[in-house]
Amino acid sequence: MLRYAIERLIVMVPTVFVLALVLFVLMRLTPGSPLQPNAANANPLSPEQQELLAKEWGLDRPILEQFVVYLDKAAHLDFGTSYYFKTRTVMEVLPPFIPVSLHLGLMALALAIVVGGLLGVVAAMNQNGPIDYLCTFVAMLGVSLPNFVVAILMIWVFVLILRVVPMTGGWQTPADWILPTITLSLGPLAVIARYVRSSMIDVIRSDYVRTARAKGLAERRVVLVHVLKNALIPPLTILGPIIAAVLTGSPFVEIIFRVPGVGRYFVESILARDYPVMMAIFLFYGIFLQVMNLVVDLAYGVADPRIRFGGAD
Amino acid sequence: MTLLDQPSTLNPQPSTGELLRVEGLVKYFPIRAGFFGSTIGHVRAVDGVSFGIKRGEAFGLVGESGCGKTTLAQTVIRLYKPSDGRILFDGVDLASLGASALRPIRRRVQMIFQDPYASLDPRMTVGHIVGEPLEIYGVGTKAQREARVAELLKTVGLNAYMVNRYPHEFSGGQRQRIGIARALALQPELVICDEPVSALDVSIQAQVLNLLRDLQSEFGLTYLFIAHNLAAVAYVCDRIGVMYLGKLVELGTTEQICTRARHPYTKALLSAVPIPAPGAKKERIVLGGDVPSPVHPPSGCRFRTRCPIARDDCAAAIPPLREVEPGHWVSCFYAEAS
Amino acid sequence: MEVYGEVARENVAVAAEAVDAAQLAEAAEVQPGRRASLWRDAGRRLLRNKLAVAGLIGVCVLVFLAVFADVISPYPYDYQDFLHINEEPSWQFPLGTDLVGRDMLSRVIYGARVSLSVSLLSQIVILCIAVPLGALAGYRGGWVDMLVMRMVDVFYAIPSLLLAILIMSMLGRGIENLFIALIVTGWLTLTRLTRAQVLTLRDKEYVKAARTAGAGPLRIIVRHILPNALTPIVVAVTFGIPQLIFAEAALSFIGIGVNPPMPSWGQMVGEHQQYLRSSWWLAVFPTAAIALTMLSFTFLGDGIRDALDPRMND
Repeated sequence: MLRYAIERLIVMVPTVFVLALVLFVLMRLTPGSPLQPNAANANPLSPEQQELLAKEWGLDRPILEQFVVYLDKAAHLDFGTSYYFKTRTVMEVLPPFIPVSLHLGLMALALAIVVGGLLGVVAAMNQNGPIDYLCTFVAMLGVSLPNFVVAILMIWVFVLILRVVPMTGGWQTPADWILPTITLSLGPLAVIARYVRSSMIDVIRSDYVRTARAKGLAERRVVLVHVLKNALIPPLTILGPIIAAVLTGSPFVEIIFRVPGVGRYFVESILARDYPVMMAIFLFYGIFLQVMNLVVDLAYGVADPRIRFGGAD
Repeated sequence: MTLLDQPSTLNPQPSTGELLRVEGLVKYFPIRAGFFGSTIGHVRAVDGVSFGIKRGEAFGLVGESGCGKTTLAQTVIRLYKPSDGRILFDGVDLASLGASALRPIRRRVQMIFQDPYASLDPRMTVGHIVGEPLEIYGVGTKAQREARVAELLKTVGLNAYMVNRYPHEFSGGQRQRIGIARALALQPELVICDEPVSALDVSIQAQVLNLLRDLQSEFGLTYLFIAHNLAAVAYVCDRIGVMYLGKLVELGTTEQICTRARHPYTKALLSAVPIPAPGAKKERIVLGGDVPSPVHPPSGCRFRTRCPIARDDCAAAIPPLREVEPGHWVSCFYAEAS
Repeated sequence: MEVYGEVARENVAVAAEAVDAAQLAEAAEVQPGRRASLWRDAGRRLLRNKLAVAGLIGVCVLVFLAVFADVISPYPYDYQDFLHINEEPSWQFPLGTDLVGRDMLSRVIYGARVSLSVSLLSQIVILCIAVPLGALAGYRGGWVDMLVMRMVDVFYAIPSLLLAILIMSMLGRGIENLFIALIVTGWLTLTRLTRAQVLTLRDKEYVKAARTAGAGPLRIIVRHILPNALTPIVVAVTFGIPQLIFAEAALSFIGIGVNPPMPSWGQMVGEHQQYLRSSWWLAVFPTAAIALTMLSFTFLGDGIRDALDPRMND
């Protein structure tokens, strides 16, 4: 187990390194940088001024040298100056956005896990009953509808037609939180409900549950002790991708609901070609995801004693 | 690792008229572990086996499951590359040949597989399955190939009109007949039968064994016949080799092995064969313990951990195969003692 | 997007098991004379599934709209009527007009063409890259496999939508670049799936039998391995198309997808979402088009997976 964790960590290092290198090279090759003043999307400064900028930002040195310098600085959380807010560094611009996205993401995640899990369990207990069909339907919608589609429909139905939620925008009052959280959680919620349902059904059909019933245990005890304990382990594996979905889904939700979070800022930085900010957010997402996947895998190993980490992948 | 340091393991000596000669054949499989897949040991599936098969002869290999018989068969036909040793087929060493050099040889050596449910491609019709070797080697025209397939099906006791059916529409015995027809398609000289009846119902086994015997005399085939059932091997084969944990422990004619077995392991195998005479009394030798792991085989004689007559010095050296009577070879220090 | 990818992978895994189950089921019912074809049975099961039929009809309608967009739509997609700017739905303009006086109905119909052609074409290219690559990696093993799989791992470390965004922001918007972004991010799942299938099928006895019969690697892969891996590949492809539709819509939503005035649903939603309160029809109709398309493909995909997996029908 420890050996596995260490090996996984060792593999993570080159992966993140390659990720950073690819990102870096791609960014530098992109037309529009101060080094290509005549490119199609170049910024509107005069070529001489751009040369000066390039020198100041070190863009005239060999690309690998730039990369090494960049890595060294990034390790100290120095991501350079924002190209867009020219007087402020990335670390001055970015941090205020983080708590908002984290807040939204955690609420959506909690909602998805609680409601999705409950829905899955109830559906499995009432297999082929009305609640089961409801669960299947919600799961189908959540899995197949992109969250910006859900966002638009949410606003249209609940704000404009039914008028049950006030028209808002921003992230000040709890009323602002309702629709973004629901929208962001719907996809993950659907996936969790599906997984929990099928995992429950597998367990319910297993021999040891049949034995538990046969020996006369109360139905509630069977479900609580034998079914739930075993059925809730497999869905743990999808938490990694779920976290990724909440992360990458947030730009759309944040744009439509005007939430001042990292995702919205990320898209704005793309449209503004603010490379230092893009790099920082990409790296942050990439590393966060790797760590989350590792944590989820290890948690799975702890929760399920049958998993042995000795075998090859 | 010097595998050929004991000339005696090369026994028995080559004789004339041999179609296949296996010399000091070794096949190790690396065991990989961890995320990086580093090799932490080897499974010694086949560990220095030598024997020869004369043209037109049926040679049997018996042993418990896991003793390396199937690996040996699949290495001889070069599904695996041997770790060491030579495989002389009609004087050509197959051990080192590349894919293209093997092609003309493959035509002359064919194989019948153990599991008739797994060895036929479920997405192909019987006609395609049996005709595929012909197609690969571009034998004849399409019409000629179809005629040949029909003839082959008839030879193995199936109806020619079944060519358009899929394997799942057949019973186990019929499927094995299809596998046999495929092996015969190229008119091979050597046929390797890897446990051809062990997956079949007992009632079907005799039919398939009879078919194999008939085919041998009809087409003058040479067999390398592998099974864990000594009775089946004795029924089909002229000579028998007994394998234990990757090594040959005894080798002789069927008559020698069945009536004058010397190795304690062979004796144990023989004692497990039922005698079809009512009231026949026989001493049943029950071996204690399990087959040791081929990753860490015992030192010296590999059988000593379960051998009823083992002595201390059996752990010191590997007993060489020695000739106890003409053509009868045993790998045991105390073969005469029992 | 990763969640959708995860579901697709799960579906694929189920389908992979389905092949074996289907073979077992077939083997169990040995009826002489009956030519039980897996595909024909699956087709019958598919048509018995109401949701799947609904999905199939939806997809057919979509294809019809895409193919005959020129004939059906009342106006060209870039025709501007300056007398009718930002109008509510009416008999003349059933879905209203946009901020520069273009007919929304025509733009939604042409949007189907963009959506479908982008997703189908990139899926075909992905198929042509991923299946041979996965087959090669799985069959050859060794350093080829190592190289391909490490590449897959690195790509998996980045959420695919983020990577697509990165590529588009680098190359600039436009339909050609969109293809590149979708293909670069879309080959992973299918490559992995094909490799896994080849790895399991490679050691089947019938493959060994073909090798002893003298078959070369190409013949073994094309004739013996791929036909037996077809079911999970088909399922992966059906679930891959809506994912590509989604990716196109998402990129266009942000404003880095197709070039205007080419009509894309995602772009229409992205451009108009801020006018939702004043002119609801501008964003709602393209949104509905995306929703119906995604649902149709999901229903159809689920139906195909279930039809190929007889165990689900008990």
